[in-house]
Amino acid sequence: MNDIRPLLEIQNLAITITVAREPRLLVRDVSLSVQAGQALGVVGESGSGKSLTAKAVMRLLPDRSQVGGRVLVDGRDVLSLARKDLARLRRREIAMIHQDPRSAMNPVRTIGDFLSEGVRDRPADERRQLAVDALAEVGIPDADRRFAQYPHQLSGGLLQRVMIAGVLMPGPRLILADEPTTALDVTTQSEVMAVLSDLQHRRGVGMVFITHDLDLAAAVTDNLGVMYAGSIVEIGPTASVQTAPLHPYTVALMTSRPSTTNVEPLKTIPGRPVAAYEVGAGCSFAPRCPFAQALCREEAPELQHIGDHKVACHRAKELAGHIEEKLEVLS
Amino acid sequence: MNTTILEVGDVSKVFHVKRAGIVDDLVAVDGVSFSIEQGRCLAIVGESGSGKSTIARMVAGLEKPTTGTIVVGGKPRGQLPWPRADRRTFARQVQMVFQDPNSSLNPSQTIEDSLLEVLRFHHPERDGSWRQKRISELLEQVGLHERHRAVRPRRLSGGEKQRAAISRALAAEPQLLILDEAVSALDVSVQALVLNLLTELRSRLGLTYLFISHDLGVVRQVSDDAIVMRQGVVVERGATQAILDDPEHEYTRALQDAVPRPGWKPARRAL
Repeated sequence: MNDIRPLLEIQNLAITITVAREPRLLVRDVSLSVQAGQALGVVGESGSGKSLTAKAVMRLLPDRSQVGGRVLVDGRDVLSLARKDLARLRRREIAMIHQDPRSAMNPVRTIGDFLSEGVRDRPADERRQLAVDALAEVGIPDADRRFAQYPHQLSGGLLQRVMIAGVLMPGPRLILADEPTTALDVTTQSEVMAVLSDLQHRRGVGMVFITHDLDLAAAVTDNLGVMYAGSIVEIGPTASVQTAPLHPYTVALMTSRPSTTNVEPLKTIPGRPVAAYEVGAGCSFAPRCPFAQALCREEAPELQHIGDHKVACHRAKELAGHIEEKLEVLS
Repeated sequence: MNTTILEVGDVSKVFHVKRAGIVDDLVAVDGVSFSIEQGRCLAIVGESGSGKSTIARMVAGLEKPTTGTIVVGGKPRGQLPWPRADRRTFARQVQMVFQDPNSSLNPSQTIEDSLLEVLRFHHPERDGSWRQKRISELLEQVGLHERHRAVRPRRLSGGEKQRAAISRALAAEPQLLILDEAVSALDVSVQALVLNLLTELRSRLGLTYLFISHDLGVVRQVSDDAIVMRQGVVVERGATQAILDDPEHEYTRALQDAVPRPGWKPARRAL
């Protein structure tokens, strides 16, 4: 491990949200960290808690939620920050990029207004220059024309670039990108990801990249965590998680994805993803896992070190390298 | 015995859109022709604005072609609105499964009722016991259980809802099944199950698919032939495997290159 203090450190995060008077556990015992200049990918399906984890970092969860554990940004506990400090953190230090830029931007304000929002305290001409530079950085050359335009006049890809330019203008140290390209066409996704990843490296900022697409996350991150039912089931250096996955769920995510280069019946797992509150005793993945044994149904596995990454699976050691061959083709 | 199920001949669709008070012509589909034979799956691949869904909607009879002909099972589909006498026949020939099962299933109807509705409409001559047997058969085909009969869509997961939507489409015994981004909204582990189901159903029941998708991996998985569309025009066509292994058009290549895979890096292109 690194002895430099991480930029973001989440310790034992637990999130419970009350729905119809019923408290629902949605994230449990999530711990992760991001160093400055590094990118962490968080991959999961619906209900895995990946977006809630990101929202907790910004304290953007609804009022009816209870949050346990600690979220440290540069050593300061976000969960207990005073209002003023929280506002500063949101405005200056953390940039959040959402899936749909159209719903994250005010439709009646121009692109110019949007861009200068984060640097309101600067003089007008300086604001403009900063915005021009920011647009150039994300590959938008004709700043003057764009300034006067409204969000509806721009394509999704262009708008997401504007969003990236805007949130990076105040000089944040951490980017939280929540499915930033999911609503985009695949060719546009490639461009926007290139812009984002490039900026993240050039600025030396940390990034948490949330997605359902493991290969996409792997392309732009240093470390990769896989979430299932509100917990991290596997986490480690991206290359080793991608090439030598240890959790049956991680393997199933990869073999479920149809390839563009060959056709084989897809090896997958039965059932559907579940949320943390639907999980009984034992491993959250056990009901869908073809390798589950009695122990898996009785006792929840802790994250354990195997090689250079951590995995929460009782059978990880014995199954290592043999999961894919044992998965079945189901329909 | 190569029976042509669908023949689309030089079909175009022009929408009149109003921009800032001026009516503009938007050519969504520009002179597209293709055909599908019995038991085959043809995919239409493209990004947003390519016209792929507009073609699907015209084949299904939800949209009127501006020019061109659509022939299903040797019978030309007349101009919309169809005469009353033809409507049932045309509707039964082609069924469609949409991206979002929430908008294609009636939320207040149980799965059984929703299947009964289709069976009663398309098979009025059959009796109740036949219908009940048929419902069991349909549920079994798509991997749903008897207990799902009494359930409303709200109680089903995304994958189960899409299975219900597929069973409803199959209930009409269509000659052609259109799948319009039918697996795009599903989680990847669930998507795999539905893709395997679609492949299995096609070989088991000899179905014919028109498969609309933006996802090259999914297209490779399910289709025999493909056409690649961009801005209303077909830019490449052929056997799916050949197109994806050795794309001729630069746009197909760009699409292929943009798909994340192990070892892939995103590429920045100048605007």
